[in-house]
Amino acid sequence: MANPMSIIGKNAVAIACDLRLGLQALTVSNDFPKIFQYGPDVFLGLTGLATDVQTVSDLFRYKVNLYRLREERDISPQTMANLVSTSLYEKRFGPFFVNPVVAGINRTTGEPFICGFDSIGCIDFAKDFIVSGTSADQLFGTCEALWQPDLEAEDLFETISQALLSAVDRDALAGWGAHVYIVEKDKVTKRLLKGRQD
Amino acid sequence: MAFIHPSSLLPSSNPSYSFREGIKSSAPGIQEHRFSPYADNGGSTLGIAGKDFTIIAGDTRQSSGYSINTRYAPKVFRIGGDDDSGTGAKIILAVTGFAADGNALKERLDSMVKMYKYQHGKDISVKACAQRLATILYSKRFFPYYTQAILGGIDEEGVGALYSYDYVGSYEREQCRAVGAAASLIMPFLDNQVNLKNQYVPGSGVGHDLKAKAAEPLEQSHVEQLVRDAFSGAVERHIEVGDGLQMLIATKDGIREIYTPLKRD
Amino acid sequence: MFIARSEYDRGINTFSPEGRLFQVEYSLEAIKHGSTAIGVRYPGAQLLLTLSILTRLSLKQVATSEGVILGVEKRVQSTLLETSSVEKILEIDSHIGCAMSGLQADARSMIEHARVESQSHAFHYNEQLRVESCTQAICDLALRFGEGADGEESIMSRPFGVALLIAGVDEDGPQLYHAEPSGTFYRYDAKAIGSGSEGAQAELQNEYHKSLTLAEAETLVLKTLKQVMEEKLDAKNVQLASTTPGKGFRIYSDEEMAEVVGRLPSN
Repeated sequence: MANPMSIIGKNAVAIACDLRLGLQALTVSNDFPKIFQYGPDVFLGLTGLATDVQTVSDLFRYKVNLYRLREERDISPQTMANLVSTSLYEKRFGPFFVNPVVAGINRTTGEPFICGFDSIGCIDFAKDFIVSGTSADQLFGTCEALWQPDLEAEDLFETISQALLSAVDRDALAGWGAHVYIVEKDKVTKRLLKGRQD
Repeated sequence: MAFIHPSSLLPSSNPSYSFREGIKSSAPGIQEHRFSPYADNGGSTLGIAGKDFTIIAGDTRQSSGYSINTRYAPKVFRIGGDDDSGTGAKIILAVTGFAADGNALKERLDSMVKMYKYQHGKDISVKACAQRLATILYSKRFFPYYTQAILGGIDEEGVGALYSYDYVGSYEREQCRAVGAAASLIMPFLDNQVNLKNQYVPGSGVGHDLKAKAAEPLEQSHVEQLVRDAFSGAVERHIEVGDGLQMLIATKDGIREIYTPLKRD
Repeated sequence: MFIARSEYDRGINTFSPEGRLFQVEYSLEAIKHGSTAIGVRYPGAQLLLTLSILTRLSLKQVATSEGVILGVEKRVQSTLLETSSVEKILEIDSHIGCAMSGLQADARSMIEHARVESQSHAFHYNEQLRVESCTQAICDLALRFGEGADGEESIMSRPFGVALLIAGVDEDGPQLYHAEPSGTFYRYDAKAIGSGSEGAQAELQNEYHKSLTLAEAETLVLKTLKQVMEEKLDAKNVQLASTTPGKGFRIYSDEEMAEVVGRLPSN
């Protein structure tokens, strides 16, 4: 199943995913978002086994809700990243088959933050972009070539959209449109990219 | 009770030269010798055809597994030149995959192209050379050259021509193509920047009503920059790509070569 | 020459002391007994340029209004003979054809070789074989007779007894070649072979000019054939074929033959 990705801009982050859900060559759904929101500006993208995607997203809903009740504040993307990491490592020898991506803006510092994980919680802190899923190779190529530092929100949207659409068009297991979130301080914009429907 | 020493799980310390299969021991006292005629030497090539030029580029790293055989082994060649340095050649061939097969293929096509000139009293066209390469590859249908080839030059109308092949000679003329280890990284970038895929005319509609931007012939300097960007991206994210970038540019005046270093890590 | 023969006639690849290969020379004699065949290349250039203004042809049509006409006589021995079964002009590929004089059966294997060579070239190079390369390919066969050298298998016991006029069109325009059993070939503007070749060649020499049109070339070929033929020329005992950039090689149908023969001045 396909790909979330996230990239960093100037005081903003973007996170996007395609909408296909499939069992190998069989497309089961063409409206299956893989990005979940856990705070005003904290997002988690999940790829991998569909049942694990749903279970893990629900598990973090449960954990983040408890965190908010106990701490009486929203979770920061950094805290979210550590929560994801430790939760995945708990299943070190029977892992969830997911490769998560976290993106958000830290309320206190105002800094954008992204990171990615393997299925047992090893964190990849990146300063530029994180990709995951079946089109990871293609996404590495497009991001590496299209991304540049200090992108403003609109340019960030264009960059992540072009990178994602071009990448999934070269992957038979991904595509069917995409969701893009542009996360700025105090503002989240969600857009639907129609993309190729084949 | 059998005890497996951890060192037996590590890769063999026996020399295995360029072949992926070394000497295997299947049971105590019995040694299985196996020879594999193929190896993967990594690396990547790409080609872009313009209005009156064609650029074919490749990195110069040659590796087997995690080790680097050499930092300068060209994968892009002049075909049909007058001497060993390829002076006077008009056609470019790039090969990735098994380097030995790539070299053999290059030598064979080169001699065919020279023979063609003797037999027919004219330089071979890119179109004819493309078909010849396909028949050479197909002639080894059941013991193929383990190489993915791209062929470029200027066609009979003076337009940049680029042909890409599979291992056994199925081929197609295209505007651009990335091949080899980092093909999956580079190809979507070329789709986006050369054929302008997923680029639309702003304000021309919403959703699927948007009007797609028409791909137009690119300037040579622009294409050169795209090639550099494609490879610097591939070098960052693929361990088999690096060391040097060799760019051969075919125009009506012949073939020009540009070499630039790439990261060696 | 006929006095000096003897032991040098036996070894088919043996030079005589004068440096001659008798069997090859005799094969040239065999052609002199063959029916007459004529080829004429018509450039059609300058004259047609003025013509184009009159007929409002486009310039492109003018530029391609050149070609080669081949013509052969069919010796109709019997009134019971079906003349359409006398095939002395054959297609090699869509852009090359040839006329023959001499032993027809020998021409079969040469033309078969040329056809294979032409198809093979198209397969390997995705382009049509050039006329000169095709002629060369035919002539490569010519000396593969006799015992055969080491490694190369000989396929024939004697030289071919047939000469060919090869007409074709490629990127250099329409061309006419003459190929002999000796393996040599030359390009001609107009050439006659066979029993009437001497008279016919002299006639061509007189009548040929650089601004022949298609119709003039057709007439020239038929007029020349008529002069050297023993029988009275009609639409049944001659055959024409044309090679043009537009239509490639084409053998004339019965209707076309009747039309062209009908144009001849009767005398």
